[in-house]
Amino acid sequence: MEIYRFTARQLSLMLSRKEISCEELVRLLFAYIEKRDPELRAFLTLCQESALEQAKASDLRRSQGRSTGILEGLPIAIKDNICTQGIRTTCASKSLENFIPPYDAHVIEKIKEQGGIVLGKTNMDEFAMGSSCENSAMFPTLNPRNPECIPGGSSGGSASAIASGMSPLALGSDTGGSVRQPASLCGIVGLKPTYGRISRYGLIAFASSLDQIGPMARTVEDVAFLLQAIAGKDNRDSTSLNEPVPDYLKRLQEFPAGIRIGIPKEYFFDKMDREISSACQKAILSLEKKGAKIQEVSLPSTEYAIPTYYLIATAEASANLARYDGIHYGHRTSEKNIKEGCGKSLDILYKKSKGESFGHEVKRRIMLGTYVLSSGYYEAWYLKAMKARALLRQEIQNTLSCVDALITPTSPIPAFKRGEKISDPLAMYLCDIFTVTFSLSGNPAISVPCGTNSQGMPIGLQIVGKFLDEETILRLGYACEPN
Amino acid sequence: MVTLEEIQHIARLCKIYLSPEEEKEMVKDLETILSYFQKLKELPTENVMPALSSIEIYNVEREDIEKQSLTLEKIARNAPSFQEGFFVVPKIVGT
Repeated sequence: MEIYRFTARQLSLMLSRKEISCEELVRLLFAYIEKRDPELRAFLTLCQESALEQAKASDLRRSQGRSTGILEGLPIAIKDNICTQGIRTTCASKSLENFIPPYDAHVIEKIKEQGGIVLGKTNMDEFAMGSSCENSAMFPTLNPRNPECIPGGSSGGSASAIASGMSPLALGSDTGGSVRQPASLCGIVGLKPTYGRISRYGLIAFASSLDQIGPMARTVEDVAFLLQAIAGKDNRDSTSLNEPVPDYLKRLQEFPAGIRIGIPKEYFFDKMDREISSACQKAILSLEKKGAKIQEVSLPSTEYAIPTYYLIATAEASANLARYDGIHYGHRTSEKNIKEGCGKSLDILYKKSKGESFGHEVKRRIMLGTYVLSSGYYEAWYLKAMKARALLRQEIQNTLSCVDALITPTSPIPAFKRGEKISDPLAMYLCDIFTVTFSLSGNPAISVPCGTNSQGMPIGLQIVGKFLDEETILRLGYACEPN
Repeated sequence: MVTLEEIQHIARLCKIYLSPEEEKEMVKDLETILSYFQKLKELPTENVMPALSSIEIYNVEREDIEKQSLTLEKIARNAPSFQEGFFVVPKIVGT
């Protein structure tokens, strides 16, 4: 049985009809992972033993008529910055190489409560800082569509696992595009929900005012399904929103007739990759044929989004990553280094522990963040960025009061070759140009595949919704799929 | 213009050891990145209230109820050095 071809919804039906047992399903998937992962390297940790145990427990519950929830028996891959009790969680960093969380993240609790099965932990750019998965301190992950290319990032491991069929479902995290961009580059579906829709409890923080956990899968229906399982208020994350969670699957297949879609002209500029632009235009045209009202809109502050995003994200990161001090957990420098510190040994402990265990991009972002927060620069950079954020947010909310959704390409370029941008940080930052704006504003945004270029590499369409209106963008995304 | 002295000062503030080569690279990288970011200065932001977050949530309160938290033993498991209920750090008073 070609297990990797099935969607989560199909697997769920097969399990409930007893066409396959959960144990068989998990065994087949691990056999397939054994075949594919040595090349793609999407996983940092595989949890075969515990997954099989969970699978047997799921089969037992089912046979006794005690199935627990919508994810019963479904395998899920988890990005390695989401804490899993008893399972190593590294953030793809040397600093957390041996970190075993003593608790589960809120989303993991929800997955377990509903019978989901954790397959393993996926590779990422270190501390989610990057757009290519090349910043992993462990190894790079490859794009299943072309192994010479990067899978995107930072949730590149999750995207590669889904695109290759090693897992039907995955969780990623998105700070400036880290779910949407790899989804686009690997030809799968990835959703960044509204900021606050999903609890961040147990998500290792990068930039707290921007981080959101997001579901990834091969179909919009599967993404909706996983969102349903993990969305909602959690008291342990004070920014999670106390708003009712709608039934995302109920009207998924119904096209929202008469819907007004805005196309921001700044996202289809002259020098853009022609193939990406035309694939997106084609998708927009097909939505128009189904009854959407398309209109051009303008988001003139877009050109300020990259500096605004990187100033805020690095400032927050510099504070969040101060905790890896070599004392409470994580890497500590050798006793020899500490002893040589004579009188300054605590200082040496901090500096060497961080200096030895953080990769170059992480150090660069902590340095940049500390710089823009430091005395004399705070107002010119950080405060300026927070004001720009207010303007950007206002502009988007104003636009979204005239239309129901926005459509843009997800990424200005398709998956690029490994090594192509790694030595040019600014070029790498510019990969996020279409996604960061909606991270700054907090709006939900989904990337759905809308074709391939002449090299066969996937192109993604980004659909942005009003605050807490995941439902509409899921329905539009569904309408873009070949049905 | 980012200088080597500034990079050394910032590295001291965030307590990260950088090799001399890394310091030089940092000067170049931050210089390139910040020159591009200068663009932001064009954007007029007088009288704009800064946005700390994308949502307006203030003062989230809860009842002050005692709850079981993680045990010391569980917390200590990830500590590089832990003895008798304490995180061990190097001696920091004069020898």
